[in-house]
Formats: sequence, C-alpha cells, structure tokens
Amino acid sequence: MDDAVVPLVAHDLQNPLTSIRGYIQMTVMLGEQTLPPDLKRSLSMALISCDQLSRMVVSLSLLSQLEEGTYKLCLEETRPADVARGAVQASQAFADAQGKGIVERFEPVAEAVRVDVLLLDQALRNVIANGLARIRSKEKITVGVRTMEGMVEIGVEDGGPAIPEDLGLKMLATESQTEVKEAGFKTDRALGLVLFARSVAAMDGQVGVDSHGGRTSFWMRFPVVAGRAEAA
Amino acid sequence: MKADRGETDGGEEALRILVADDEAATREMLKQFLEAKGYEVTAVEDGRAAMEAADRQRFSAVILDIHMPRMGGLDALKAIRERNKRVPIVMLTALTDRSLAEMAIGMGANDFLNKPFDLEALEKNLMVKILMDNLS
Repeated sequence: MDDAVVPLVAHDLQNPLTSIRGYIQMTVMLGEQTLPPDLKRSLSMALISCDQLSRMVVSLSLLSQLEEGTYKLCLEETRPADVARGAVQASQAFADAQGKGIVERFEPVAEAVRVDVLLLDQALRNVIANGLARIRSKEKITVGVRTMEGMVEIGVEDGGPAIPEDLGLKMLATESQTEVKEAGFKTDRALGLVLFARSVAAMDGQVGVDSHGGRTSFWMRFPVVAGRAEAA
Repeated sequence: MKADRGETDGGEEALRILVADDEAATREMLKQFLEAKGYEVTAVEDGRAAMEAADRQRFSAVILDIHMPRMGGLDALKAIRERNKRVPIVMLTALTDRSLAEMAIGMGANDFLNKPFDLEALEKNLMVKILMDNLS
C-alpha cells in the first residue's frame, strides 16, 4: 500500500470505530440497572477492545506521517509527569480488565521538557500497553518519571521475560522484527514500540531498553528546558 | 425570540442540541444517546443542513463533524458563528487532524473532541458549555 494512503485509511477507520464504541458504551450506560453482570462485563471488554483498536489506528497514522515527513511537530514546554499521569489514567481500564496493575512512581519533577504532547502521550500509552502485555495477571507495571543529569526520564518497568542486551533496541525497529520473533519474543506490540521510538527521535529525545535483575524498563529521555529548573 | 428549549413528555423543558455528521451510524448513535439523556436533538448530515437548521431554530449547543460533504464543519462553524456569537459549538475530528481542530478553535469553536470519543465526556463537555453560556 502506498504510504500516503495509510493516514487516509486510518482516518476512515475512526468513523466506524466511533459508532461501534458509542453504541456499546450507550448500551452499558443505559442498561446499568437491567443488564446481567456477565453481559455488562462482556460489553466493557468490547469497549476496551475498541479503545485498543483505536490506539493502533492512531499509531499507524502517526507512524506513517512521521515516516513520510508530513507530521507537523508541535513542540511545547510541558511537565512530563502531567502527560504520564494522563497516559496512566487512559490505560487503567485496559489494565483492570486484565487483572493487572499500574503503579505511578513520579518524582516531584518540576522541570519542563520540550515535546509534542500528542506524540508523547501516544508513545507512552503504547509502552504502557507493551508493559501490560509482558506481565501476568495480578502483576503490576511501574510508570516512573525522574530527573537525571539534565534529563527527564519517563520509563515503564515490568517484571516480564528478560530481554537480551543486543535485542532491546531491535524491538523498537521495523526491520528487526523477524529477528525479535526468532528470538522467541512476541511481536504483536511492534507497531506501538516502533511509533514510540520514532516519536521520541522526532522530538530529539533518547530511547532505551534495560533488562536486569528480573526487571525490564522501556524508557525515553528528554533534555530539561534550560532555565526552567531554577524557575520551578 | 426563538426558544432554545423544547418540551419533554413530563412537561419539563428539554435543551435542544444540533448534531451534524455525514456518517449515519455516528449521527444516529449521538441522537439516541442525547435523547436518552433528555435532550431534544436535531440530527443532520452536512454543514449546509446544519446552517439551515440553525437559521430555523435556536439551539443550546451544536456538535459539528469537521469532514462532511456539500458544506464541511469548518464552513458551517463560520456560518453559524456569524449568526450566533454565543451558542457553544463542539467539533468532532480525528486525533491526527490536530491542525484542523486548532483552526476550528481559532474560528470560534468552543472545543473539539477526538473520534472515537467517550460519550460521558461528550455530555459533560456539553453541559459545562451550556451552563457557562447561560451564566454569561
């Protein structure tokens, strides 16, 4: 498919998704007192699947625009903990439905970073979804924000399978997915992880994957905006 | 003066909402939801019909999709704003259409929601804007 067609297709997918999501939510809301609990749970799962699909469609569209160079980057000074908190909230229902948890560990970070909020939000949601997919039910992932040497790091840590050092960054690249699969790792989160890496690169940030001591962290780092730390 | 409220079965006044979306499924879904919540809804399929409806009747709030045939949401926004400076207008758009959404805000839209949206968030958004409009 022509790359230029992808945003159009992604855009068109949003319309049927809107009505499917809306009808399901409406049925749940209006049937609050009358629907059997099992049916309510089934509909809630369908709602979460809609949101998952929507996130994938948006990722596909954004990734295509980034690769084509048509994405209009909108950099603004932002407190990363605010974006992280929003991404965690947006992912909570997805985690709850799987019986998994999300722990916030935000240092009192006052520094601002210069990012495109839409891209950062989508990137982080994708990394959170990846973290949740890597753990078993009743386990938790940790979303953290901390400062280190003039940078702010936003990371998602999980207790899933350890990732060999030479494979971590390959998980974030389209061209290495066969190698990742052959190494025994699932690649069904590849779209989200590739968007994560491309988005952070577009915002002049850094990405990395650290895996040791039974914990694995997918992180992104952005330079603190000069002069803001003192002001805060 | 045209009223922006209809009357419900119980005799109470219902707020009138104008919805314009060319996607029949989305339009019908919004109509059903808002009616279930007690609003009186006029649902139309393009910007021109929205503009004509706004000429005929006064609404408490307007929901406009951005991409529509004949007359799109931005043109309808402009036309309705020229006639009514105060009515709350919420635009519906795809998340990746950010520049269009920003343009809509610059043209006088009160807010925009990304498709697919949360119905509760939409209703809260509408209620706040209608309340603020009534207080101003």
